Amino acid sequence: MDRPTTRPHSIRPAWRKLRRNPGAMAGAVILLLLLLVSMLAPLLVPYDPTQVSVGPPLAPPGHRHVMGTDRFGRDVFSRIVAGSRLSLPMGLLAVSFALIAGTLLGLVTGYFGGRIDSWGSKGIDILLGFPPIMLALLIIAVLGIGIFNVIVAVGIGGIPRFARIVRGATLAARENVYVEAARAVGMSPLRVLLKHILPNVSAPIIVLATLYVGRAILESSALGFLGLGVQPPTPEWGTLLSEGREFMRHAWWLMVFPGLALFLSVVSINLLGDYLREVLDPRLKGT
Amino acid sequence: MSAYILRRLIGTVPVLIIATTIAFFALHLIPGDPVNLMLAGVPASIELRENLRRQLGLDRPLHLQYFNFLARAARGNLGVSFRTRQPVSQVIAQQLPATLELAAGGLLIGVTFGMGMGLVAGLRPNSPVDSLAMFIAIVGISIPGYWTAMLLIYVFGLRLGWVPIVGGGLAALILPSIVVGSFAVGDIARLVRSSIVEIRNEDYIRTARAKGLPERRVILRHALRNALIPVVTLIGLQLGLFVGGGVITETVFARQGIGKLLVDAILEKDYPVVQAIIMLVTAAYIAANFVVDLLYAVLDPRIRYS
Repeated sequence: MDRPTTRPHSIRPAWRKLRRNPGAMAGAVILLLLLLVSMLAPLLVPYDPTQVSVGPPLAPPGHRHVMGTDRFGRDVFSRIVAGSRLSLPMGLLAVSFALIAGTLLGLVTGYFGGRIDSWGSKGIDILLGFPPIMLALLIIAVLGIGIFNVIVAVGIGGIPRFARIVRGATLAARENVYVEAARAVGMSPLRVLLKHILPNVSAPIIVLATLYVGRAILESSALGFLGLGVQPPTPEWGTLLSEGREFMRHAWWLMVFPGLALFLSVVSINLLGDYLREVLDPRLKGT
Repeated sequence: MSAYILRRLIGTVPVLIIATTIAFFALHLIPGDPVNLMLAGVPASIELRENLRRQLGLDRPLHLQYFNFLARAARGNLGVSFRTRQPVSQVIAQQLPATLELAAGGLLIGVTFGMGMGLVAGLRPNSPVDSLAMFIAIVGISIPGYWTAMLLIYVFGLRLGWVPIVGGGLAALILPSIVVGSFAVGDIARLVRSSIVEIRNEDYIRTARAKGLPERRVILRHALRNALIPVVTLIGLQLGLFVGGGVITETVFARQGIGKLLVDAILEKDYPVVQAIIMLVTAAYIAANFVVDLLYAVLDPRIRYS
């Protein structure tokens, strides 16, 4: 009785089927490459990303600078590679924050029910009542501008979304016979939640988390773009794009390449997330 | 029906009050003296500062400020902007039309293209057309809106010169509307596709075909109408996206509007304006979802509210 005999959403077949889906496969390969670039960034950059005058200012892409240089003569390619070390982890951290807080909230409200559930659900509804970008902007207004604050601001918007899905899945999982049995033999609620409920609700959590990473990366870079996130001269894709906007007329490379990096990351994550949704949890379609 | 509407309206009051309360206290936790910000570094005597503080009601305890704020807000008085000293309601009223225009343009483009793509894909599932439409949908969800905006400005505004990129009028609304609409196209297309795929095999579709209705009528009157229900819900939920899209789009296109006003107000710590916009947007969000619920009954005669 200690281990559930059937798991409705097992993760293993997902990896086997991955090779037959070209879109998801492409997403996985691109994502892997981007993560590698992000990890090996210090070895890959040809120039110091914050060093000015490594080339002439606003030089178009060429032999010495594959993606050109910016107004201070900094190497754009080096800055984009260095930016991946901020933009990708920021999205991942924001989702981790939303995932942990949202899952806890969903498990507790779904499992205990009663007054805890009715108050918890009201809280979830109120958080969902704020449009995500408003919530993020409000939090930035309160906490101030900074990398950590961006992660919190983007993460909080995700909490009610995780909580709602986990709550629903927990309500269903609670009715299983093995959960009843575990309770009957006197297992503590914490153990029941972690050993019997959590494994059963993990599939929708994984799917939502994957799809949310893309959104979190877009949102945190948007805050950078608006001047409310990472501040220049630190290279981050959103701030690079806001610099690119100023020189749109004279230096197209300043806006094309950072945008491309951002787009490729998000599209690869979404291709993968979409595939996971199909394989692991068809009920999540359209969320 | 009217009893239902009344009950729903009363139900929105606590949500609005709680949202406003959170916003009020959150904004007052922020370190920094609004009076300093108003003076913007201009030297001023202590006396002048105290006067200003009294005028703004900042000398009172926080809970009294809060009740004052609620009482005034209930009468439609949202306070005075720290930055321009204009009434906040006036500041917002000046920016609102531009944002509404943009949201309407975005909605039109998002719904037209999203439904079109979803319908084409859903009627021929797993065909190349379907794969293409769904690929475009994923690209639409993944592309950063402000990047789309910059690329459109660069290609159609600067290089080809087809559309004006600044100024008013319908022509200047085209590119921003495409950007705001693109936030929604992907989600709408995917949802319409999955509803159509599901509905294709329903009994009433078979009945409609069996009684010899032309295919066009079967699709438009019977399939699409039923597929609309989840789509309408999605649009209600996405009103936030249109507002969020507005924040970014207005900045990139250097347009006027509520989104631009909000970002500026946050950067310059003009809290009465921030507070009022959050209230307004939350109210609009609630109202949109309320209208969505009423639309269900119009779209699906089986749904009745009592």
